[in-house]
Amino acid sequence: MNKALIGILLLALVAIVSAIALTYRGNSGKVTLTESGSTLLYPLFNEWAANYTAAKITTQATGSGTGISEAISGTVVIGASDAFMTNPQVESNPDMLNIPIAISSQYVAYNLPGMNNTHLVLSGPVIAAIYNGSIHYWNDPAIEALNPGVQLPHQMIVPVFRSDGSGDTNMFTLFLSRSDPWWNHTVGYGTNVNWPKNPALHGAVGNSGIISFMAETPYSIGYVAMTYTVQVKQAGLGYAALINRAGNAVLPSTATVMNAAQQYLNQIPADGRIAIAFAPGADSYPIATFEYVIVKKVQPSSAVAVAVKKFLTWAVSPNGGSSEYYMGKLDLIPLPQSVVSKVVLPLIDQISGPP
Amino acid sequence: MKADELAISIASIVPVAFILIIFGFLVFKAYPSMVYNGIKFFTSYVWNPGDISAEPIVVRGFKVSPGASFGILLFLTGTLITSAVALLLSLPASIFASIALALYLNERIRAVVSSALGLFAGIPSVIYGLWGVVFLEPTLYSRVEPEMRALLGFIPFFSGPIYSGSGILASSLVLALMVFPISTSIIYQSAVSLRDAAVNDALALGATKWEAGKLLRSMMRKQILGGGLLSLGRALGETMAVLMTCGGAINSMPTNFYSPINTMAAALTALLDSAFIDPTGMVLSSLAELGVTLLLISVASSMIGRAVLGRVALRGELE
Amino acid sequence: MKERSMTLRLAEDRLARAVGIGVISVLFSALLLIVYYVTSGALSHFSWDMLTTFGNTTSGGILNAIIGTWLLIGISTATSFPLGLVTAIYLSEYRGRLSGLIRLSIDVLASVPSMVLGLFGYLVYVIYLGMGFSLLAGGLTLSLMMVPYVARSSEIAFLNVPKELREAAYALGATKWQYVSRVLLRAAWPLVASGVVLSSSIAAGETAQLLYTAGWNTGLPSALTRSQVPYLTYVVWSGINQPSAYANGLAYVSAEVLIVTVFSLMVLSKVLERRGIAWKRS
Repeated sequence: MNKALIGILLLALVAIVSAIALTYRGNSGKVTLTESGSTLLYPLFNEWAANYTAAKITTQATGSGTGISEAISGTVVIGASDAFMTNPQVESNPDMLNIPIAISSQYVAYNLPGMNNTHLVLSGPVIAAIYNGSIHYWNDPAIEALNPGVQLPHQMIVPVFRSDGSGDTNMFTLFLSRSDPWWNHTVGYGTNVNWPKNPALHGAVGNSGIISFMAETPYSIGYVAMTYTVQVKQAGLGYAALINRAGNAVLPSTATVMNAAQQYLNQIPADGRIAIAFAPGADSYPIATFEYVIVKKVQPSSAVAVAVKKFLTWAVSPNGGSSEYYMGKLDLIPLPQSVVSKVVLPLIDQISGPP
Repeated sequence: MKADELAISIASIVPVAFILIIFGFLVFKAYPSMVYNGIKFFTSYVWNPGDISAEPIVVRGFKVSPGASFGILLFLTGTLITSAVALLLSLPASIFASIALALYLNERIRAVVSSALGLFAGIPSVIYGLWGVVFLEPTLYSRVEPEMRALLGFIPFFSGPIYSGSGILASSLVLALMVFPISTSIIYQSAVSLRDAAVNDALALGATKWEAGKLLRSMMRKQILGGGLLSLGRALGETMAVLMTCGGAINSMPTNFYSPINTMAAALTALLDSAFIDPTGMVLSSLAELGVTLLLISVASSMIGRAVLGRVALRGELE
Repeated sequence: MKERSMTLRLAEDRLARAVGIGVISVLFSALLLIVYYVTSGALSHFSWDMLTTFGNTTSGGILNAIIGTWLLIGISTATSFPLGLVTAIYLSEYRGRLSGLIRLSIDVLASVPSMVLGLFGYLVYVIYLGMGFSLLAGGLTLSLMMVPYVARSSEIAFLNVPKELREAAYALGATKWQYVSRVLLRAAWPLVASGVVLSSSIAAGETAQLLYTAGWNTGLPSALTRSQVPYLTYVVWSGINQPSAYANGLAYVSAEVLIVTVFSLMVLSKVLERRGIAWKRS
């Protein structure tokens, strides 16, 4: 043979070998817990990964839908999702656990030049009409009726949705389904839905993609996870107060989201799957959701099973991952202890290694 | 046949096998969608994943979410529009640039420009997309699109609302930039050889360079056509830059030049993750059918170009 | 036919010259603007830490992505190179009955859009063959894209070898394989290497395929299969939309590293090509 061929092959070989050598040096015996999924939970997992030392946690923001599917296929150990698995998914994959780990919500954000520090009042039916294109302009009578005395511009509304399989979409469309019969009947809810025909509708990837799009597109409107409060403010976007089931206009805050979650605390089933959108209660914010970690019951290795149980227990503990440091930083709401002991810990307990 | 010839023949069959396997596997995967979606796949612009939280139902022998129906007319249209605009912008520019390079500029500048073309063809698509998002889109939204509407607004397609900086214009411009090096290099190579073969004679007889240029252009019709077809092949398959600048439209056909759009390659990339959680597999099958459609169109375009020019052009293969 | 005046024709000529140069300048400015934009963005956010630590696209650095990109280049080059080379040998030296079919297949393979290859790679390597998101899945998918480049440039390389060498070898009693292995490859290696390096520069810039075959990793892959791989284009893709300035900075720095890598590989390819052609002329 000749020198060049050998040379190139050797180079490739050296690259591969040295890289693998590097990785073995890097692992140092700790179990690696791979996580991927919800972009809402991504900042939280990054914080946890930076501070949790008992295992090495790798994170990736791929969207709730991908998080669920990667957990099912075993590509990752922990699938982070703002949506619990649907009934068909549970039937096809009975060995998966939907473990609540926090409570969160989202903003209905908008970019109205000059008005982004005021809070418009919007309702489910109005938002549904905006997304399906029947409300075209910001100064539409329906929006003005909710905001008496506010000068709204005569500009076209540019709504944006999540192109990736998204738990935020699930949260948003659950709210719309429960508050607007037309949306419930025609579009429904899910991590992916059949979006209405609206030539102004744009798609973006990830919460960060939504924020970027809205920041550079005046008169846009979209839904953004509450864990991105800092970014929303930095981008100069405004967000709305929403009309809840009781008919009151409520601003999103940890208090109003907690009010919404309170309404359902006694109804959480043993498998953890419950939707808490459009909650009753005078002071409840109408968009709220439990945040889930999707994990296999039977892990392929007992070392991983032990490590993930330990990590999840730490994650929901008020002295660990659910302390004010993590939750407050990201505007998340820790699970009430009653929920943790009655529902979450029993679910974590079901994780085991291979038989 | 001797041993070495046999071994090499067998090894060389691998590309043939791969083409057959790629096409075959994708068609196999697409089969449920072909049966379930039927002709509506190409005539409907609605991509409806159905009610994914409800129990799957069985339709025409396949499990699907209730109400699911997949159509790619929007993506087909988007691919057509963006590629057409990209070619309309870049091909005349390529012709002008190639002839100017061949006739007007001196040897040293030519060499620099040629090498630069090669480098630009190698810039990754995602970097074109990055530039498109941070520089092009804001510029389009604040300056270019309003100007365009003011100038061309009497044509219905160029009037109407300007939604954002993303959309047909942004993705077509980025595509035009990306295919410009390819078509320029093909046309330039033929310009140089034709110049040496025939045009120098015209110049010797007293033609001005501009007239020689016109002569050159009329002799290069085949190469221009071929260059256009091969650029088209590249434009059709371009993914990341388009994905980042197209606006991610869904379920609605574009109403004007400033509308958000989606192309087959970009939609395939964006929608693939929604196939992961689909327990019925029909989304993946529909995406496979989308892939097959894109494959056939791209290969057909390149093969026509190959018939015209005698070869296929590869990205980065310049000079 | 009315004869046109010389002044008119000269004026026309000057105008055309100006327009032609104008077009070239505008387009080159646009392309130069891209490089300028990336470079200035990278410089304004740069810190040496970014190049020396691992990261997750919103914090840390891009060292894992740099290594991952080279790992992918390594695997894809190692798998596409033999295949492309052998095909070129067949087409140029053995010229069997299948030549037309093989050449057509190479051209068809070159026309397949990269995301369709990515879909295929996902369906077959990741799912069907159970590799999961991994080095092998990503590398093999990339190599599908690279084979036509290697085959084409190797064939051109062989064409550049003077036929006197072949005639001399056969005259001395060499078999076809002896000619190929001892004479042809030695003579053609710079141009072959040039093509291989060029194809690897294309692989370095791929994104869409890798999104669904390589995944992402905040560390390095621990095996060839079932362990995800970090790569530079992912950082650019996900970082540029992040609202945090630091993530944007990571995206710009990655883009700069990519440009430098791709440009260096292309320059290397050019150098090898000049060496190959110079040898022929001598």
